[in-house]
Amino acid sequence: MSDVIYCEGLKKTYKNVEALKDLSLSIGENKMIGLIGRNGAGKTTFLKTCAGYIRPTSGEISVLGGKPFDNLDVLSNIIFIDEEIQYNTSMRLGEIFRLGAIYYKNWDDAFAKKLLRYFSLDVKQKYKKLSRGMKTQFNMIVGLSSRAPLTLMDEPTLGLDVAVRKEFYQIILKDYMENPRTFILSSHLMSELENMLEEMILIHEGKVVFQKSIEELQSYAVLLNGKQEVLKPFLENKKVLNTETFGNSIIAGIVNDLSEKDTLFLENNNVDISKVKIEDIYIWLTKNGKGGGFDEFEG
Amino acid sequence: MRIEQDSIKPIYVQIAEGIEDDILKGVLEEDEQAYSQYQISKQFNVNPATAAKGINVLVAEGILYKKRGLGMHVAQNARVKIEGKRKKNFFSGMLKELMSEARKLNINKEELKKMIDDFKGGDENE
Repeated sequence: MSDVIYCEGLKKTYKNVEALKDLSLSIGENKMIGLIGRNGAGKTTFLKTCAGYIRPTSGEISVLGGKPFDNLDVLSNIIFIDEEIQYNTSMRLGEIFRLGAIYYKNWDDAFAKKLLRYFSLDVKQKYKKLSRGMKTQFNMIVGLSSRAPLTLMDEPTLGLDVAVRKEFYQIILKDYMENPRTFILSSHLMSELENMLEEMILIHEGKVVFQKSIEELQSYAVLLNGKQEVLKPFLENKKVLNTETFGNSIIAGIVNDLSEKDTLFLENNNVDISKVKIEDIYIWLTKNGKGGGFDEFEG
Repeated sequence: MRIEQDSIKPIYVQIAEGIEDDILKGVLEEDEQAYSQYQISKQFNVNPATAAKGINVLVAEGILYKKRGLGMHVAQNARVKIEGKRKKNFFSGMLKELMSEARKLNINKEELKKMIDDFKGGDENE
């Protein structure tokens, strides 16, 4: 098997809203992938389409070698976890585990119970009685215990405090190493988990803006900070992603194609060169209109 | 060994340098076992492919080697190799940084030389 997910010109339209427009990508086997995008960018629609919850309006999608919508063979190998999961109101956690074991081929019940104990939950508890954070924890436990070859998690850490989030990142990573499979995690806290990932995909307005390795993204751009008179002419020949002025200085994010000569010039002119976080690249690439932020908004 | 999120250095380079530092400091001894991909990945929450890349850089340079069935080990002459490499980098990298900061502070070369001569801290770290 080459690609776990393959999409070509995928479209999904709700009434008159185009959630996905011409989305194309492919995702290789056993990768840990991050999915980012602004609210309403199409992330959840994309994940739900992969999970077979949504039938695309047009375009091609193949997941684990088949069309996911209404396809039980494919679906028993995919799990989709989000905060909206609904179970029958009287269901106890242990009963949900039993369903998981029926539904998912690779379900690991011992692992599920171990995680349950670790997070101080009990098989006898009712799902609907859990707090929001506990529900999130439980959903994650189900997601991991399914050991589904394609595990999709939409905002898996919503409502969890930072200590529990970190524990989960460690658990996911450890389990991924012991049982390699394909993960797609969407999160608004991507900087917390970016080093766990192999690739990141940015979706904006229903399309893929980029799909790159973390390593590539972490060195994709640099931040220059120096005097306007030095930087202004220098930036003319550069791909500038963002500029801010601060007194007499410019702080500019540019695509990192600095030659040795450039670097030397910048250093000789007291221009600081520093790292750009992936988060910032993402904000710059998806900013609306002028990108002046709140200042411009106020004006 | 540690990883700086704000460093401009790629994570895999930081991993390789972290292992080198531990060899220089004697935390890892020559001919003894080094960290595995799994250990690094778990300790620093990095993707196993990233950890492997950091290790492989050192394997390619002959600083680490894989002992059959026993995992990664530190090569016998690892220290010397690292020292040689670092010395080269010292001139191109650290010295450049030093000069750049000196320029900002209007310290000229003569003054800088004098500072180095007068520098008393024979301590390893500073």
